Amino acid sequence: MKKPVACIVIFMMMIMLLSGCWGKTELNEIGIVTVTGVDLEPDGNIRITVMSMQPEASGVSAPVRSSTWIGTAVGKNLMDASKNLRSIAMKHLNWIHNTIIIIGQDVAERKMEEVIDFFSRNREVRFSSYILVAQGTALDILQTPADIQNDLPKEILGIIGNAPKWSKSYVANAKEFMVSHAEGSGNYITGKIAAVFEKRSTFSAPRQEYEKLVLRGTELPILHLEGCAVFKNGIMVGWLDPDESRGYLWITGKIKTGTIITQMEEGNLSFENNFIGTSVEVSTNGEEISFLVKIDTRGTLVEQTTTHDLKQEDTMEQIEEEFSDEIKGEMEAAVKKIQKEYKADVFNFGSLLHKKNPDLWKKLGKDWDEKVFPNVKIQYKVNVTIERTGKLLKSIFR
Amino acid sequence: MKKYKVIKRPTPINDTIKNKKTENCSRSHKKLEHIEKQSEESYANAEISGCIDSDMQYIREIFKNCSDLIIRRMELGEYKTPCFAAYLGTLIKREFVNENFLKPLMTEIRLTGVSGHSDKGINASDINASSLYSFQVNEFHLFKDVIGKLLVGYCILFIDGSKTALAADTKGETGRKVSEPRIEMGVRGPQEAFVEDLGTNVSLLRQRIKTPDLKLEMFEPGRLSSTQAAISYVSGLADDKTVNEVKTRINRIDIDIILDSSYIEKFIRDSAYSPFPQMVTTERPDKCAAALAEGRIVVLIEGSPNALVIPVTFSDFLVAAEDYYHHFYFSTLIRILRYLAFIIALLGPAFYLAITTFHQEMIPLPLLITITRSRADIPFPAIVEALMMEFTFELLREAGIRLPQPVGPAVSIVGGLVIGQGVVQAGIVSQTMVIVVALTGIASFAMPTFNLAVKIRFLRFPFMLLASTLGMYGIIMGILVMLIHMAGLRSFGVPYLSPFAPGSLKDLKDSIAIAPLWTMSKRPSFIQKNNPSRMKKNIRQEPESNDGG
Repeated sequence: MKKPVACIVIFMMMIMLLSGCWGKTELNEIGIVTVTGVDLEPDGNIRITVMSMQPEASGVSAPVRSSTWIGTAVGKNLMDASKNLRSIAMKHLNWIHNTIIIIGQDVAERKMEEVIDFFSRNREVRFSSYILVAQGTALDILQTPADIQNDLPKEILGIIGNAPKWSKSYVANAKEFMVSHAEGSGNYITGKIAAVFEKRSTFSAPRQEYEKLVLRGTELPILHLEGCAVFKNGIMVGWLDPDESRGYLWITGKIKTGTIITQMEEGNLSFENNFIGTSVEVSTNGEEISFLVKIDTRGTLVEQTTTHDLKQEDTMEQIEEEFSDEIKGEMEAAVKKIQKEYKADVFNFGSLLHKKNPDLWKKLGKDWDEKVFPNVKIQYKVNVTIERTGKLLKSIFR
Repeated sequence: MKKYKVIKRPTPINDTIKNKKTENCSRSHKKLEHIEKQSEESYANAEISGCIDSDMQYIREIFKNCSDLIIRRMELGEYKTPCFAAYLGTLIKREFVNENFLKPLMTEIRLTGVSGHSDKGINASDINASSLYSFQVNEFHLFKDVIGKLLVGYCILFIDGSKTALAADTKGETGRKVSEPRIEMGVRGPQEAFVEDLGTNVSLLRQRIKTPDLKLEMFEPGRLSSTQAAISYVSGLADDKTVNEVKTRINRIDIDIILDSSYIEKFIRDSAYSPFPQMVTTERPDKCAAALAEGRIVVLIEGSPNALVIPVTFSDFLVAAEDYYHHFYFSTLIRILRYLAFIIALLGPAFYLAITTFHQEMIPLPLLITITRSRADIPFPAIVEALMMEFTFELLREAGIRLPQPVGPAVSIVGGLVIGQGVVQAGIVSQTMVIVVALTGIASFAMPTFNLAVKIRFLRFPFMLLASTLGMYGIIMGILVMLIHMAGLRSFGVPYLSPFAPGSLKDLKDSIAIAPLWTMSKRPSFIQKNNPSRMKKNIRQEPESNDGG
């Protein structure tokens, strides 16, 4: 009986000695990094900028807020820069809750693969982190004063969360980048973020401050998430404008809610889709490859300023036809830019061909992006169904 | 004092009360035995002589300096046979002695025709047969038996010329009446609880199980106390081997005094060093009756309102009697809640420590910021904070238990307001920690058996230490060790983790979930082997279907 008791006592004492090592960090010692920015210095070094949350104690009378700390450091590569960051950081920086990675345009155009490697290799970074490309430098984005929300990460996350509501941008997460690299193409698309100086900006401020700002006409930077950056073989090759971005989203079926506007006679009509089914079919004839993009979308007529009688079936069919053409036009514009100009298969058509005709892929796969993809024929078949016309059936225009 | 320590240790296996004189033991033990048995030895084999003067002398000698011994001289019958009654005035009920014992002997004896002979005197058996009212009269030849009865409130009649003494039950009722349960309260169901008196407790059981198959076997462990212990079981349902095992284990107990059923529990439990309770302690007769009907054994101890139920499994500690009285949907919900409470009570602070000091990535960011904010200015590491809070909580609980009722509110004010509020405002302990500790406390109060709740309180601390040093890894290790230990436990041959391990699908009907009563037609298979069926199948009544709706 004495032996087990002695063993337990010794075991417990050993456990007490272990305390303090093995990755134990008290909560008040950590700085929670929420946004990371990567930039390229003119001399070729890498600059890392982090925004970290360092919550303050909420006293009885003190306002409840969390303070934000922005630190920036330069190093030979990303790891070096992130270690150099410790020279100015006052807390143990921790990437476990990093949700946003902002890549400066220069880095994206030259050293993107290095960035992806760093963030996917690091144990602390989550695969669900969003990756955005900044127009200009990431540092500028991170130094934009937060607007309505009391911290910038929340604001950026809010903007990202709204992206599917209008579908003129698409933000990919780290996992999608990695999958694309794993598949061997390294072609992908992600959102473009820019700090735009505007006179009429959005902000939340007390009335007096508001008047001061408006009267002075101060220009304030605000963040825009609009359009996309296109990557080819892991290197950024160019931008897509908002409408082209939506064209890309129609083809890939990633669109959640998009609005299509069409001009008919003297007025215009808007259609908002709430369901989409996309399928792409490959057909080969010798070495001639063609893709057929089939889209079936359903939704609501949300705005109409024409005099059409919506009760008539053939009118509706005509309107649906108009919308289909509009969607087709958007997709064509996107494909034109991506296929002819950037020559990057971000639609992942290559893998469809691979599945359908492996032999042909073996032959053509090597030169897919450069030679084959720009010349394939892409056709569209769009079927729009208007299910509802909103609360109004008749037109109020006469 | 030292002498007592020696005897309180568990006695060797083959040692029973009967052969304690011949056992080979240390000097101090022998000496103590001599002290204890001083008077007992002197009358061990003394027989009643039949001469009342010498018998009276002998009784007086034995009860020397016992001022409550009363000796009442009488003369019986036509021939005025001398006799005397002896009783302890503090134990008997006076009306009983007057009305049912003395009155028939002194006045009504003439009506019964028991007159005796002028030379032989009166035969004790005749009196027993026809002129004593008392509901229980025993005849004894040895002083040892007579004295045993005298000590529990019997009235003893010695008759001149007769070598037989009559002992009539004139026990007075002491102790409290049957009242509502104080510890295991319930909204629905019987509101009776056991009391200290064994007879009352047995009667409560008999009221619920009306069959001669309900057996009661009496034991009297305890050298000084001779405490009555009743093993009750339903013969045919209870496993004979288990019953015999319980009897053997109780027979082995050789201790000076037994004051509560917990003494028995400590001596007869399977794993003495295990922190887990191995017997359900209950004050509810309905719970005992249910246990008996399942084929379990209930041990009742004189002077203790807590009955012991054996054998039990872990899941029995999370069962309240009320579960069976409510609708099964509701009971299932409550059971699940209780299992959750068990986990929270055991692992709550440990889990909090582990995720806040090791695995911050497991907490969603907004919550992490809130927790960090509350911890921002706390000068102690989380483990110190947690231990301090737990310590305070245990202190409050301990103070609350033994507090005289009028002072009660003071503790809740000082504890709840001053410490709870003050410690946070002073920035010594974070608010989140106070919430965690409070939640843990509430969860441990949700345990239906107090026995288990106490053990969880104890087990929480090793888990906290493990969590603060090894994080989640430590907690998982701790849980593994605990489960291995629990899987190895046996309660009188029944695996402790049944019906989960070894798994038994049909017994899961009454575990975490509880099935409707009419579907539980079988008794738990891990306890009941003789007669598994407890109800007729498909006896649920339904109204006849009518098409009208």
